[in-house]
Amino acid sequence: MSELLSLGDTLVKRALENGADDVEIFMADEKKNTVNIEKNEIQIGKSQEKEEVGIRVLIGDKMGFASVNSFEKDKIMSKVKEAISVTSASISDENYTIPNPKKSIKVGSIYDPSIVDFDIEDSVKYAERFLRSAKEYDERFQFNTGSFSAIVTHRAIVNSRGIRSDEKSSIFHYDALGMAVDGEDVSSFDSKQKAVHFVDEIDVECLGREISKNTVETLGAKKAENFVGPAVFSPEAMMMISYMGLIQPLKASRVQKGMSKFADKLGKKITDSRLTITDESNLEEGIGCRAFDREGIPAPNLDIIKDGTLKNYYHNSYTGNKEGIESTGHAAGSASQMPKINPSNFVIKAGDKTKEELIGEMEKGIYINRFSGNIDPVSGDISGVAKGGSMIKDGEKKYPIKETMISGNVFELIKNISGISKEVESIPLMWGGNIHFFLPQVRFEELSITSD
Amino acid sequence: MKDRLLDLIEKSDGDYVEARYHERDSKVIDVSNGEVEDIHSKLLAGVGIRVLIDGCWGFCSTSKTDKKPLFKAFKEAERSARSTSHIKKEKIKGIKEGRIAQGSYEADVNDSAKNHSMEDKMRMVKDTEQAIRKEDKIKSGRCRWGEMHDKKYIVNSYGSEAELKDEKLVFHVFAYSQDNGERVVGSESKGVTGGWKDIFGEEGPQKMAAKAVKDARQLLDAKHPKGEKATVVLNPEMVGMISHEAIGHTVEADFVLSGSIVQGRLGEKVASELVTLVDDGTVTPHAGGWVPIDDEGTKTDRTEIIKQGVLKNYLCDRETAQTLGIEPTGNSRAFEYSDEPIVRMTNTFIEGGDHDPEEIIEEVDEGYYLKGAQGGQADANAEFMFGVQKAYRIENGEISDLLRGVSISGSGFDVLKSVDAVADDFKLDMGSGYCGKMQSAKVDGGGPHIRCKAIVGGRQEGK
Repeated sequence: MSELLSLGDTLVKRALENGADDVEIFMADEKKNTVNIEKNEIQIGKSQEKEEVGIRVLIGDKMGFASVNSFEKDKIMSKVKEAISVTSASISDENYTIPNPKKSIKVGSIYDPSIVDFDIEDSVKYAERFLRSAKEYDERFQFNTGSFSAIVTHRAIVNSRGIRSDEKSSIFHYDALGMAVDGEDVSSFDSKQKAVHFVDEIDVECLGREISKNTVETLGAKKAENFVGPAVFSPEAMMMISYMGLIQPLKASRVQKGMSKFADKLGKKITDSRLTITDESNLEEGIGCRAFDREGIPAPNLDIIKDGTLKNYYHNSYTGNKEGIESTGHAAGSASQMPKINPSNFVIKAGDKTKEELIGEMEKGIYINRFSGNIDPVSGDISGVAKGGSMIKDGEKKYPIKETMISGNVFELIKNISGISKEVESIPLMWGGNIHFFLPQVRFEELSITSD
Repeated sequence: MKDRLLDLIEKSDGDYVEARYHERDSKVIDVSNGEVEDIHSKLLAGVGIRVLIDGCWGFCSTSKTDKKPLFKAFKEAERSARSTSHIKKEKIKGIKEGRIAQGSYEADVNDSAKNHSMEDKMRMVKDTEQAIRKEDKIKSGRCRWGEMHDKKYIVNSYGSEAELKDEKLVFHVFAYSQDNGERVVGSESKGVTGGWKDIFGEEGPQKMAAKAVKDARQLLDAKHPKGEKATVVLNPEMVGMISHEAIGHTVEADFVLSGSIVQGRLGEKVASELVTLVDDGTVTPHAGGWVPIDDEGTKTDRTEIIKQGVLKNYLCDRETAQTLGIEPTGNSRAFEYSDEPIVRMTNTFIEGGDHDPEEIIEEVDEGYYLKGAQGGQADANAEFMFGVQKAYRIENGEISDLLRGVSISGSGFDVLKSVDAVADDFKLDMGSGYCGKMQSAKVDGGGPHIRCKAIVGGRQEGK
């Protein structure tokens, strides 16, 4: 039996003895070795171990939470007692729950046993190949910062309602941020990242060449023109639109608080018919792939938007309870946080046009490689700068652009899609939980483009 | 604990070794619309060990602090350093010593938050949030309390042997009103290094809530501005934001070495001579970015980045100080024990001048008064764009219409070159803020009211 599960059993028992009506113990044991790259050089080798235990306690209608970064029983028990005492300070809410077990789902393999022997020296080798491939593609590329990490995580959850699961995963993550410099000419920054579960899927050379190519191609940038017109968003730019402009208003927590434009829109058409979004927690290529969420609930594949119609919001147990429905399995966050809501693998379905066709059909518009700015998840207003984009005229990328502001509104833009690419890229996001995006290029009409 | 860390230092035969024990006890209460968003108590403790061997860095962190696992982590840090040495082209040629920190450092805390029960804190948060929602035209409210109690031991082979005890508190209130689907927010935030009396001494939660409500109501009726380059008067929070985001990051030595806009420009005039811009970890009492020693065991100090318009210093750690041939400024910080120290700011601000703050506005025929920043982005070339919390039009020397949806943008250095008045008032007003650069850091910033030119942007009416 897993040591973590056995620790969880003991802690659940002792929390109940100490007065909890219900309790959930979430544990994570993570070992990570990382090599940082800075200014075209290997900067530091790091090895980090993390033990985390999150304790959620329910007494009557009140919830309390505490966490500690140790698997030592005494340290955890003092936090169990604190979680119980915090509960008395909390606010009563009949929708709080420690969930019951749900039918498990089959997910693919996300653990490569060879990660056990993958040590810092292996990470150094990959980091060096990553750096070299980018520089060999073009010497003008400046590898500003980046990293290669090998992460092995063992997550386990035990609660007083009978949930008792654990899962191991391995992730190899690599990322780069850099620009091209040619004399006085400095390109926009570009950033790229990849994450895979298996050693034999690592391809640092491909990503190194890609970022080098992207930045060199944006040397010699000029200002764009001022106009209202179409823009093709790269998968990277689509990730910003998706994360802030779509995922936030699709969370039931925001819908229930009146902070979502998608409230009262279930079953209604909210976007162009070309747009289909699904959540696929069993997609093993994604780092969002998992057998259970932060509350121990599996997430069967879920239609979010199908052919332009809103089908589902993302729920955890609390938001599900509020509406008398089951959690969709999207409780998220680390062991040291109370469960929030996030997607697992966020997939926008590929379209029917090639990337070349998306550009080729445009008389005048821009291509946006990266978007840097603000998207208000409530109003949907977008304001920011297109980084590393191109001016498109007569169906061709004419020249790279700089200092180009774009503004519009996400909720209007998604009704105004005029093409989606057949090609899809995968982009991992590892801030406070793992989400993996699978995104095509998307062409929107009527963006306000300013370059004064 | 200190002895166990010192033991490691003795065992090292590398060029440099540092060991840092960091214990953080934090608590958060967050209530939104009468619901608990978050209520937690978190304990984080462990040791971060960094070694420099043969010109290469290695780092290891562990939450196991007994002698044996600590020694294992130390050997792992050494192995990490050695594993990079065969491919690192330019080895680190030593690091500077700087001002070695020794002894105990303790924050000035009046009435520690630990003296107040979770029940008391929850009552305060709940009552404040409820009071916001009761107000006319307010659709929803939110209130968040956060506290961090830090204890650190920092030792290294250069002789630093220091202990730090610190308490940092933050309190935020938000009032939301909505009009035709457009949400506006009035907010007030405070953050201090200190205790309960230090954060609420001048102004309690209910007063902060009343201000946020007033702003949310007024913003509901506000108009959008037209986009233009204009004369702007910035309040202390806006000055702090520009000092930190648009200027401060460009002078962090790691960015300088990566080719930021100020590389090789020490001694050049980069701002109006009215501008003296400083980073100072020692600011007391109660600055949110109070850090008397950094995580390399260097004593912090006042660093004049820009003195009367001339670029004087970069912010650096021991390594970048050596590379650039300057002295370490005490700006090497790690957020948690598992983070390695990197170059960060502390309290970053523009010094007060001699102008009357009222006259600064009275002398403007046409322009804007910008109060408070929200969201935004800045680049290594000092170009920035921030949202403005509250913007007022200035007409014939008087503050007139309140505007909403306003942003300010430009190049940080162009903005500083255009400064033609610096007031004699001064306030650090970013104590509730965190900076994100690979890891978090608690920072503060501010200054006096200043007058300059910048691009004021906004959405066109009707769009």
